[in-house]
Amino acid sequence: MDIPSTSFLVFAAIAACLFNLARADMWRQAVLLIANLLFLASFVRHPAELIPYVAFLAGGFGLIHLVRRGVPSALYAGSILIVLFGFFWLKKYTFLPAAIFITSPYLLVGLSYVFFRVMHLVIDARHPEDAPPMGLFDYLNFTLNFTSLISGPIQRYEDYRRTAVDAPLPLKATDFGVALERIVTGLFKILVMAALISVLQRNFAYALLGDASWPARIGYGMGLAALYPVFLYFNFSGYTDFVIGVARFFRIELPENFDRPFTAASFIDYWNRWHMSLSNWLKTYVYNPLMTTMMRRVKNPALLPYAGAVALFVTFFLIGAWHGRTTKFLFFGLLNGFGVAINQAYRIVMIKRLGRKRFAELSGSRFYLFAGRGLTFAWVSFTLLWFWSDWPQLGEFATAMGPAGVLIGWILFPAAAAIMLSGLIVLREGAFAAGPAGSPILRSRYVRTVWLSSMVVFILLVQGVMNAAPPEIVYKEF
Amino acid sequence: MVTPSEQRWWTLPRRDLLLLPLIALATFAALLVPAELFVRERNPSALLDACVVATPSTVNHGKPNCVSRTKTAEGPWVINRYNECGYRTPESCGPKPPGSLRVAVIGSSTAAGYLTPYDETMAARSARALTARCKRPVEFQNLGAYGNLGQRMVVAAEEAMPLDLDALVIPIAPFDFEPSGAGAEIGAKPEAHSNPLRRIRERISSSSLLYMESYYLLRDDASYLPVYLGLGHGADFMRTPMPDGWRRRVEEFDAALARIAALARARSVPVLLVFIPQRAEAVLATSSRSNPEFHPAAFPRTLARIAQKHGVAFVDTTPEIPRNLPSAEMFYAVNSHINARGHELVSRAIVREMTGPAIASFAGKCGA
Repeated sequence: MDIPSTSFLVFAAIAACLFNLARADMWRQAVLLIANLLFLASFVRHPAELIPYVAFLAGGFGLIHLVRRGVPSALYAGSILIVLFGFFWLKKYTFLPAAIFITSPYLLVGLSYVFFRVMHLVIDARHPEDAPPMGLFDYLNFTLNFTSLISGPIQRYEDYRRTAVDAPLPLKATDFGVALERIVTGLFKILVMAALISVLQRNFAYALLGDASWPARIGYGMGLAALYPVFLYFNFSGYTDFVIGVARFFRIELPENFDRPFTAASFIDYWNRWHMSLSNWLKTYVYNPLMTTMMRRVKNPALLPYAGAVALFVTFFLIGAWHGRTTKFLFFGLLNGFGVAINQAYRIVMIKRLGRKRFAELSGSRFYLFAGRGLTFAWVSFTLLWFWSDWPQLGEFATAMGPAGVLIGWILFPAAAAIMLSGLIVLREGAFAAGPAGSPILRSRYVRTVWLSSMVVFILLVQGVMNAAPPEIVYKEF
Repeated sequence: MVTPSEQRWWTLPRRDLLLLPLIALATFAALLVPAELFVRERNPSALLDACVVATPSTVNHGKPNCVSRTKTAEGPWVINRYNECGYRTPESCGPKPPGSLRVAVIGSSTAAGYLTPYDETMAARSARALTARCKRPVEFQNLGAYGNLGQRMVVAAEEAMPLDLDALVIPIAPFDFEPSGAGAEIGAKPEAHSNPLRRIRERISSSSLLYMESYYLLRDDASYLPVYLGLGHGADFMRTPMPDGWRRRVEEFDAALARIAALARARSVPVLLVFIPQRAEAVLATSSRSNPEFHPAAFPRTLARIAQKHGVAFVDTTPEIPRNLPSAEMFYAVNSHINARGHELVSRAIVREMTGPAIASFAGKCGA
């Protein structure tokens, strides 16, 4: 069952109706569990394909309870390594010998996201006094939650339990409307914005490799690089909006994944706004422990700030490397790691030179923000080249533009991005400033109803005129 | 503390429970009505051929010396001129001019060249090509009109025989066999229903916006094929064995062809049955797309057997279609009739057969 799809919407609607039919916690959890299992089963053709998935979940559950009972440090570390190995093994990471992989087909859908959930439960089980209770029902509903199984967002168990079990959110007409608005917004982003941008990007690629003039090819090359981050944003944030809206009908609050990432004026800030649930997870379970370890080990206090840069490099390298099993994703991870590490080192140097207050003033100035947005977007677009393309194809694009064209393109790119992004920010601020103070017209439920209805019409029209299926959710692959 | 208003499910001002849905409906209307009007203006449609007389008992054909205009939203305006006998032919249906050859075309809307400008129909193209090949005038009297299948086709053949024919051509497509297919939309205006819901549904289904949406969706073979094959009985003619409904229709055709063949034999008129594939059939036969449940060669094979049984020449035009040709280039994507390109491909097969050994008597007269 694809997300989003009509069959998924019908499935979710029936499940939500049954879920809300009775208030009893037992009923709701049972309905959710059945929905989760049915959703998972929709991806398999033979029950045997589920065995590795079930084994991973069962192993995880066993390890969590083992660690909760209190185990020596070595066994604790071993439990973490077992989960890690199980994930790498099932996902067939190329650094493992191929001979040990399972050759028959088996289910992998959402395994990366299940892994994050299981791993954090195993790590947190070390301190059971801080961990909320968790039975088998809770474990399965948390790890297999069908609204966030395919591509997240990644939620910690305590946050999930807060709304899903302990204090389910109310579902009044306004909540219903807001959830519906979120679903339609998600569909609009995926089926209209991402679909149209994807077509445009493909056309730019054809034009770049075609017989356009040299200046035009530079323009197409720049457009090609710039469109993918925008496409990915609409594709992935649209998916997130959609599943957040669906989960709301089950009185569950899923975490946000995006906070206007292209307004970020630095690469570190960008990662605070992009795929937030993943970066927060890695900050908690990789960056923080790494920083703690380094603070203990580094004796020279002058080097401590730079230890932060190293920890950031490792964290964001892992973020990049997690996306795929091939060397291009390792390179993508390296670029991300370098990006945040250099950004952090620059901050340290600037704070040393200017002092914290003056650097804060400088980084809040209009021109700094303007330039910072352009540079950040340019770096994001550059790193993502290895996300959607590969070395041979990038070679073709570079050949079509010529070395001078590539150079000119990358010089012009940050300036063009800065102008475009700042222009959009000004427009947005202007639009939300219209109306009485504190209650802008665009926030009015009447205006939102008009916009929501318009999005529905646009979705129908664009889907009607597109002669190809909309692009799949990119993060489904990871 | 929870106030009584917060305990209510809606927590909105009461008026909003009515106002918000009304705003949504008004927005739909505000966007869809102008879009519908715009599409109607840009892609007008006039499917009803005012010249064609639909009769429940006898053969359908045009009114004598009548001129009409038809158009599908996805195609050009077409002027239909009918001669003094009500046939879609510029030549007179009077006595055959000396030295010329005369061919009659009978069949349904596909044979009539519905929605295709006359000069680009298979009849006009074949007439031109044969005139050039035979070095003498060859005229095609087109008696085709929507719904002329079974008994009506026999009546059309009876009507054609006194025209001093040199050949009789029967173009046929699976589409023509469907009772609701071949030109149901061309016939008399549908009756107005008193049920308002049904009227609304009809209005929506006749929406130009919806039609053009379908056009953009269905013009791509990748989208069209699963939609068509999933429709049910419409595609069942490609199944083996053929389901009962389709088998009965084929049996009726068999009986009709037997009578036509007998009529033609009595006057020594050679008959050519021309098979034109349905769009999905063409896609399956000429591309790498396939479906194990549907066999594009099954239906023409059945027709070939029937034709052979009655001593009628048969040609399947499917091999004329270039491999991997997007099917929307030779079929109207939503309407499903063949377009000018489709007629061109069919006329090639007609000309080749009529100048070849399959219809030796005509080829002999032609001198080809």
